[in-house]
Amino acid sequence: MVFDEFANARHNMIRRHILTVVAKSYPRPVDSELLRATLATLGYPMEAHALEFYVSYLQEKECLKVETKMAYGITLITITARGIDAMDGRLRDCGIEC
Amino acid sequence: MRNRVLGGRAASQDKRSSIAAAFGGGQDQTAKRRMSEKQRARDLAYRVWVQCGQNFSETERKLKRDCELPVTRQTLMAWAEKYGWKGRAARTEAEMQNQQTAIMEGALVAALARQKERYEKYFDELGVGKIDNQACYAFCGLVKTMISVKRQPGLQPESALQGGAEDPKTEVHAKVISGDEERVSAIEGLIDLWLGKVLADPEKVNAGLFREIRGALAIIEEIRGKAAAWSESAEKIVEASTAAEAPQPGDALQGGAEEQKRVIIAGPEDAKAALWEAFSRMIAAMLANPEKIKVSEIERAQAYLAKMTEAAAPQAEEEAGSLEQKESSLDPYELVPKKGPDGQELDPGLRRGDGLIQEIDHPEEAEVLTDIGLWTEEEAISALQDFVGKQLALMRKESGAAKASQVKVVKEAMELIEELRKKTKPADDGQKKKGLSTEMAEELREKLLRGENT
Repeated sequence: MVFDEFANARHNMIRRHILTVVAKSYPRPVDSELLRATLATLGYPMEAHALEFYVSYLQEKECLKVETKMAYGITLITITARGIDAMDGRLRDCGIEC
Repeated sequence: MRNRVLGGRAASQDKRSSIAAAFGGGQDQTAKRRMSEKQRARDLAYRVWVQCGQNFSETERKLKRDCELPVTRQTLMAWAEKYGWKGRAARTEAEMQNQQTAIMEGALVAALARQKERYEKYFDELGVGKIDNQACYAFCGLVKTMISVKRQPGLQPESALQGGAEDPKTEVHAKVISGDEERVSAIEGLIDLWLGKVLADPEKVNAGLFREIRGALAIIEEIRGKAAAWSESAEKIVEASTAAEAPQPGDALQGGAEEQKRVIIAGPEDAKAALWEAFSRMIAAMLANPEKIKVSEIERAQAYLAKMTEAAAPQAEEEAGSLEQKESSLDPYELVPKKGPDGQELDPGLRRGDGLIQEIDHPEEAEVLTDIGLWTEEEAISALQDFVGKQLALMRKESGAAKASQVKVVKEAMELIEELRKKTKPADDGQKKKGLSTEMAEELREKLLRGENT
């Protein structure tokens, strides 16, 4: 039980970090690889598919906008106004630690 | 009033418990609590087992001693079998290994480099006249981060995020550039940086930008070609110096031979090393402070590299020639002393003796070397005086055949000497200069102008 709580808190923290990193370049996008590298430097190293998991979650919550160029393996991630609201604590309904 | 409230709370609790009892929830909760206690004990046992190197006996002892959890060895083995502890431990270890690999700086930079290549491919295949601004911004951020990660010894996330506006004083000379390939890649990085800078500003994206990009790519190609030419000329120098080191049968003056060898090996080699060092310093300083990079600086670096390559080619040819021819030819330095203060004969390539001053082919070269800080004004004046002396000697030898271009170059050199003298005048008062004196220079100038008019 304790471990589940810990894992949940970690997930929330990662999602919060994702929003913080992407918000720095608002309204411009951030490359997914750059985001992954930045998260690693912040102490959250993860594989590309793990990042995809978090990004997809936030995309469904309409906190992020994702543009993919499949042929080139490029993913551009932009934060939305809703994402900024969630990060700043004006929205409470998302799974991030606000 | 208070009793009524308390009574209300008790009533609601009774109501909740009665509802739970009706659905059998009370028993479930107790069972869940018991289960969680067991699970917690198992988790603790697992962690201790991992800590003890998967040794059951050691785990049993440690659990009893430190955690007051009396679990037998057989129980532990049964749990390990039932819950697949070995597989779980292997998975955890693999995950930790992955995390360690992912956090390594090299892996991060490599991943970013791969992504950069993908962007380049994307931009290449983007239709003519089409611009994907969003991708450009993302690419710019990627390149900025790559540069800041490469430049910093330890990763610093904040500066990496913001694109890095570090204190240039602490960053200058942080990267040591050595080797031809590294120099070429440094220039490429510089041009990349400039492109990133241009692309970051949407107002600068216009038709002219493509011309500039094409120009930048041409510069890279040119540098690559010149680096290759430089390597070839360096090989020639090495070959010539090896040939000169072998004993010559017709060489009667042994001391003279030693001096000649020094002319061939010490001059160009040392000068080349100094030039490369200066060039590397320049590039490192530019890379350390990318915010202040201008296109003109890149062009200057490129021109400087070209100058070095041009300077190397005639030297290599000269050194490949015979030594006798060199002896019999007119000494171009007849206007400057051949011997130093200690009475020893001076090497023409190192005539000043106190530094790596090589002869110059054009006044502009002295100016460039002074600008980048490789030479002081005094050294530049000395080199220019040597140059003027050499040119005048050649013009005297071929009397009547002096070209207008030669005269123009000499005039330029003398003007530059005067300009440099003005700069250094307060510091140099009372010091006697080597080479041409002011009076002599004036006299020569008059002669030259008279000759030009006739």
